[in-house]
Amino acid sequence: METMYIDTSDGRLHSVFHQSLSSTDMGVVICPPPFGLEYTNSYKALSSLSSQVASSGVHVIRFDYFGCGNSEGELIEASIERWEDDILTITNEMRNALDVKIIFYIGLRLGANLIHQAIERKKIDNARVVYIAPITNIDSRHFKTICRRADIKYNARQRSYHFEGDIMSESLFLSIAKVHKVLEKPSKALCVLECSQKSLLKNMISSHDKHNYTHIPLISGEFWKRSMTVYDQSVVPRSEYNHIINWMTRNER
Amino acid sequence: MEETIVRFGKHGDVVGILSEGPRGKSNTLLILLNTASEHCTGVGRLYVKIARSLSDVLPVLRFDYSGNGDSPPRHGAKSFLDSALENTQEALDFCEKYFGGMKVLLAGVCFGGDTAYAAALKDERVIGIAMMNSYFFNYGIFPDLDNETYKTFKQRTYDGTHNLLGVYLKKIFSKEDWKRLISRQSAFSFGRLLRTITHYGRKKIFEGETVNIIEKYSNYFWKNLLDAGRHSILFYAENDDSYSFYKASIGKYRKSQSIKEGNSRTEVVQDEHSNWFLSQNSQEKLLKKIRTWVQERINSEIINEAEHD
Repeated sequence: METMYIDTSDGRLHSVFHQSLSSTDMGVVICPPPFGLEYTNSYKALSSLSSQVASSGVHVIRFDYFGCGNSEGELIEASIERWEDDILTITNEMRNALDVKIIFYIGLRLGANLIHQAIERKKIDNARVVYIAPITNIDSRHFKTICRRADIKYNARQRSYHFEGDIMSESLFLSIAKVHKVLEKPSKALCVLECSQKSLLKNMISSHDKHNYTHIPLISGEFWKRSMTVYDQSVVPRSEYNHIINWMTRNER
Repeated sequence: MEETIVRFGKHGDVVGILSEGPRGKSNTLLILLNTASEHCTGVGRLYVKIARSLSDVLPVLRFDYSGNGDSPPRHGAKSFLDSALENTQEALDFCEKYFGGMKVLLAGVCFGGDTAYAAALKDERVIGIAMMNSYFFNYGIFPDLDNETYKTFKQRTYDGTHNLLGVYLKKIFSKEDWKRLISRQSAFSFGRLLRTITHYGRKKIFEGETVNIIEKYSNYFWKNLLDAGRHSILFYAENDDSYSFYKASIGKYRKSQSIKEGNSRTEVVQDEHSNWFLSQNSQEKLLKKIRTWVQERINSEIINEAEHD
């Protein structure tokens, strides 16, 4: 595992490479939720997932978006488009550094929606995507879920939202507020795995080729009732990792 | 400001980020210690902000404890506090090698504060500690205190300072909370409610033996710190439960130990919107206070060295 900064035109992105010991042309880009409690809570889970995927013989890279986590920049300067560019930058970095040809994307929560939009807008070819608990129905409560430890305050003078110690521009806030709608557009991915409690994406992506869609009931409701004080979908139990790895192996070619 | 990813520890397995600016006269550095559950960005990116804003004054190192964030877990039977302490001492060793004999300030939120306290008592290189929203919940930081005393202290003080009854009363009128309770997604504990009501009814939380235990524990805390001769500062978010906890325990016995302002002080960050330094306002206030403290420590070290010479 190698932690490093990747240069971009606006600032460096903090990233972690999990290089597979066996030679492979397969790689995985992990897209975490960008900020808030979901980012913090899922960090360890995604780190374990990366290690497990790498030990199964696939290169993995995970990263923090611009203005988030350990990456440079401030959240106020960030935008959805900028974060989509970050996914592309990381993809290219992986392609160039490790000569990877087949790329899988694993996105958790808002990260899943960002990949979907990045594929749709930037026309990434032949992407294979794993959506873990994507945001399919967002309302004002979603912000409460991701920032539940602090009040969200609107600053009319700065046209920005203050929450969790950060300031988010109004435009980013509004973009996130409708981020679930991007899933209604047909996916251009080669194949899709949805890991969530209920199969929601299948209905939303109406024109999606049903043969390329797989759903894994990620976690039973019992999981949260037993172990969580709060309903937090960014917490992925380790028992689910093998399902994801098996699916990737099946859809390798 | 330059940020470098560093690796240190016995097996080079502890991952950290060093933030450095143009170095002044200071031969002091700051190490930020995490809570038990977060990695080195801190809550609401607090540590990223502290490190970046203070890098013009002194180098700042933040790292992930083994088993947290990007540092892989270590095998063995060590408790998390022992493992965190080991990591902290490895960070001190690394800094000594990297910078060559510098004085160190430790700062941490919650569990990080406890680790800073325990490390300061053990290591001569530490000249001061900042504990933020600390509960002093770790039995391990007082090795001579018996486990039962500690357990009673923790349980009683927790029950006494957390306004659980108030919390439950609020929840009765919340539609969302009823929904969660019915769908069995709530963490409601009937036992805790009963215990709270019983305690409130008997008003026994801070009486008799419990008072003795809290006094013993609190005096222990101050005595150890004074004996070690480390400067300490305690930051609290006014609305956080840890502040009530502090007032009912450690803070209450501060006077009896005649602690001078120069050796230790407590500062409260007031912000009605946040109890965890999570609002922009409280983070800015905290940053300002930390900067002042760091400057004071650096100046005091410079004076000490000049007097020594």
